[in-house]
Amino acid sequence: MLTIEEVATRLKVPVETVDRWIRQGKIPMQRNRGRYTIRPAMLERWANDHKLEIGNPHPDPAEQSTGEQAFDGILPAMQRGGIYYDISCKDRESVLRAAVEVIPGIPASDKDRVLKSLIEREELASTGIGNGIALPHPRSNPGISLAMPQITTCFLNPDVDFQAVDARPVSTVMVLLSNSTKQHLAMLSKLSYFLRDASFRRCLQGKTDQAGIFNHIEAMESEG
Amino acid sequence: MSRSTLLQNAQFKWAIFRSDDRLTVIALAGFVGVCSGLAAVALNRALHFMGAAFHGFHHHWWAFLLPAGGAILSAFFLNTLLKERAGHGVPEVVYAVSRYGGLLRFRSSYSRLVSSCLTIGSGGSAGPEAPVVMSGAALGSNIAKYFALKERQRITLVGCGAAGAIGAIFNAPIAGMVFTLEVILGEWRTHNIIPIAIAAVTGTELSRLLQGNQIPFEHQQFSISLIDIGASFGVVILATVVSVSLGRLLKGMHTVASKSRLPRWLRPGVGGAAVGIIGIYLPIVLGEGYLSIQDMIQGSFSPGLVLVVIAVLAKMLATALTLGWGGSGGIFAPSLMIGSLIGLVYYRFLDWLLPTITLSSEGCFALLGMAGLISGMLQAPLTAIFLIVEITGSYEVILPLIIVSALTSTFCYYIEPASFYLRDLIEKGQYMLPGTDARVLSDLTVRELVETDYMAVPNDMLLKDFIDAIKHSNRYLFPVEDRETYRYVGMIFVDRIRPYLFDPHMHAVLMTEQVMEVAVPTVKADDELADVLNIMEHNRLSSLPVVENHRFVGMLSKSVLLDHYRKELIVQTGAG
Amino acid sequence: MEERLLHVFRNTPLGRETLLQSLYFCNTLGASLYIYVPKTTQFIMYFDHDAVQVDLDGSYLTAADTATEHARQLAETGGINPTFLTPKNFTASQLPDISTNFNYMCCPRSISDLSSKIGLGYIGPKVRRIVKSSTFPVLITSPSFKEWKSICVFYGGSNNANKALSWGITLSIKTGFPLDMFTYTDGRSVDYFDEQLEAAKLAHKVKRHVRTWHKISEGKFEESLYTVDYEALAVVGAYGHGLIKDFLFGSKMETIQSWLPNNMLLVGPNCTYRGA
Repeated sequence: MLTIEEVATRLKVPVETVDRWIRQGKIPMQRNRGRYTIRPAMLERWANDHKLEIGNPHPDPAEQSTGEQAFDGILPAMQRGGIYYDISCKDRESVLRAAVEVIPGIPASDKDRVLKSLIEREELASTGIGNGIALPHPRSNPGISLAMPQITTCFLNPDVDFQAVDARPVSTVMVLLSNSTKQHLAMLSKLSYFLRDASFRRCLQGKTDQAGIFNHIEAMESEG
Repeated sequence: MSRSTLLQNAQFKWAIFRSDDRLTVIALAGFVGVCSGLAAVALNRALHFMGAAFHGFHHHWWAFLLPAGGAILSAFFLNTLLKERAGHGVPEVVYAVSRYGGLLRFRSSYSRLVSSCLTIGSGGSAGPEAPVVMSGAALGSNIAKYFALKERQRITLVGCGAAGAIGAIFNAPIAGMVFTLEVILGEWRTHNIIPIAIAAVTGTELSRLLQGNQIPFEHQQFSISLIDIGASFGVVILATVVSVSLGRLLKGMHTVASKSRLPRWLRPGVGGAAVGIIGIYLPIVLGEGYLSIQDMIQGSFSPGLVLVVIAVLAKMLATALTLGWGGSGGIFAPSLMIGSLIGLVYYRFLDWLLPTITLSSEGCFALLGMAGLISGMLQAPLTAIFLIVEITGSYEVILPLIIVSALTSTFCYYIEPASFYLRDLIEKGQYMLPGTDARVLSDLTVRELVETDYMAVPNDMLLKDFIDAIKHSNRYLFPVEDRETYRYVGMIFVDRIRPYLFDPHMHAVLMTEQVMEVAVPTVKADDELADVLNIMEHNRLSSLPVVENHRFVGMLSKSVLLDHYRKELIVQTGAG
Repeated sequence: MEERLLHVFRNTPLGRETLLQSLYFCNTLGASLYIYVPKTTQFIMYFDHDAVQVDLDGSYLTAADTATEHARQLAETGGINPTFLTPKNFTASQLPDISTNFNYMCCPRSISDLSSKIGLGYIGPKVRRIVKSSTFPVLITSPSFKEWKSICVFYGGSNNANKALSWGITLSIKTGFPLDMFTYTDGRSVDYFDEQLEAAKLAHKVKRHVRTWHKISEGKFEESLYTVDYEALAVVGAYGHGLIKDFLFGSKMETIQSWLPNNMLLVGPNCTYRGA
């Protein structure tokens, strides 16, 4: 036997509405030991007659998992992508080419496609967000499959002009690769959040060693 | 009041009077009644003629081919010659009324008359009422078309045609009116009742003029006692059982026939031949059966109890064979006959069981049976009551009559939620009374509700440019179009991208195509609103994009829908 | 809203020509194409005031299994992505309801008879009924596919002619093709037509958009038809002056359709003109 609350959930109406319907005799619920109840089969029949839909008795189903992994944090992503120092190039395009060369986890056959995608995106609008940092990423999913999203950090020597928003040359390039827009957005927004922290930026500008960077990130992540 | 204001008042009232479209309908109603009355009389005469012509042949061995031939000819005429793919009359009228404002093809006004004449006249077990209703309705519809009337008036005239037809057949104008209002139109409105009444009366009057004031069944006198009223409850049960069985039998036969591998044109012949064979042994099964009904009401139906039971089953089978296999006709008359047969069965059985109880005559119970069957099959208790009262001309029967009609139709409603006529329509979800949710939603169209003043953004626009753009808009939904092809690719929900809007770093790095939603279901301009609402509910969206040919047209929002829904409902149910 | 054209597909070489014409029409006007591949020989169209049952010639059901594929292939070569209509409501089991929610409909000259009758001088009765009741103009195709490069409106001064002229002007603006007018004065003075244009407030538009206005005052009507450009789309109001206008095509219309092999756009009396 279903209670008023359960009926309300299934019909997706508030409890007050069901109350009113009972008062007005519109829904056939009976008093059963002080509470109004109805048999599920009766409810179905009634809903059918009135062409109402009975919804899932368990509201708020979990978001469908598409089988892809949720984003698991900046630190693992950076660890997967690796940090590379003293990348020396003349211009934006060669920087990207060099970065793609060192990115782990992509088969050589795919590297061209990734590079093309990064350049395409870069040409549309610069990914230099200022303060000497650039975040290149493919415009759309380049069709590679990565186990998990990753960030490859490259420190440039010398700085290269990326036509960044603040017109300053870029010294840190962080290439973001992921399997889907959703992962990309999650990763990007988390990274962006970290980049707002001035001390982290300085850490990057100073081309600190790997351990130092990872420690800093861990500290920021635990701060939450 | 001064003279000029009096004059103005009068002129004003005259203008309203003249422009009131109800008057046109009332004026035409009589004409429609006459036309449908003529159709009814014509069919009646034709059936008499054919009945008399074939009467002599029934004892020949090959007589069973007569109904077969008739049925084949009738199907040939209807489907091949006139290319009118037949439904069964009354549901088609209801379909036209509920979906298309009563638009019926002109050929329907005479096609059914001929085809049912062939079917029934040759011995098929069907009724002439449904074809005449169809003809009358089609005549009404086409007269409305000729005078370029609006939909509402056309519907009324269709109803007039039906009322005139039934009134003429049974010489029962009230039954005609009630049938139309109860079954065909489904609504009682002041603007409907007067024209329909006029049509019913003119149809009946015409029939009386041409055929004399005789009804198919003569007036009888009955005296009803308490015992009869008690006994009528038994009739209810019997009528319910038989109604439901007959309905299922008809449906089953129809399914069997459609699965058969015989060529289409031969199928009615099979049904007809089977009926013919039954008819050799039980000739009362053939035709519409009015004569037998007359006998039963008069109490002069001779065959014994067992034979009557067999007759019930045989008639049910014969009707199913005729109609299920493609013959043309209605179930009204067969229902009447089966009803009176079961009334007879019940009376004789009771008489045999409890010989000490004195019941009123068996004719009375025949009538009750008829009422029961009509109420059960058509789920039209009022029509049944009025028909019987008008036919018998006696009011005494009314108490048991009401009991039988009301209870039978209620019981049948619980078992089979729709009347036989409407079953198909309801199954397909095509039966929509005005002022119902289904009807309002089907009348509204996406085109009426779509809002087009939405600003579209290209798919490669940077977030910071997008923020600039939305400053100039008061919307929070933005369709995204491909920069080159202008095709719709997705939607941006500003409330969902808030986290990115407030992060300046993201502004330079994100593009609209990365933050847009692509999985938003889209709507086409001629989608049904009921489906659209379902989609909205499943996806918990209160707005959906309307996309035609890959181009964004506008948004369909629930709030606009609600506004229009209210107005539509008010207009549909409001001022008569 | 996007304009829509309804096309009933016949899976024969003749039907191919008709479909090519529809494709050209849609491409030129930017309309979207809706194709109905018939599964039964009848369908019914419910207009506002008339229910027209269209009985198709049997050839419409030829090779039903390949019909949709063929139609799609043809459409793709024409660069159009068509929508295939599936009827949802049925008046009877073999009688689907086809929507009348379109801006144009394409018909061959006869829809109910054998293809042998697709000659000049014959427009089938069903097509006539559709033209009479529909709220949209009907495109009657030439027997084989022919591109049209200009528009020629037949102007007789009646209300229907004014409507046809409005349509012609709109088409000319949308497609960029030149617009001509053709008037057979038939005893009336030349000024009469100018007056009609003034009354309908079209005179101004005519001056702006019409390239040439052929006014023929001498000779037989049929012979003068030679002046009409062979590459023109003829736009004609289908029911003209006079009492019989409700039942028959006007006499001029009959002549036009007997003598001109061009593609024709027939504008019926119920066509609602939605402004350019």
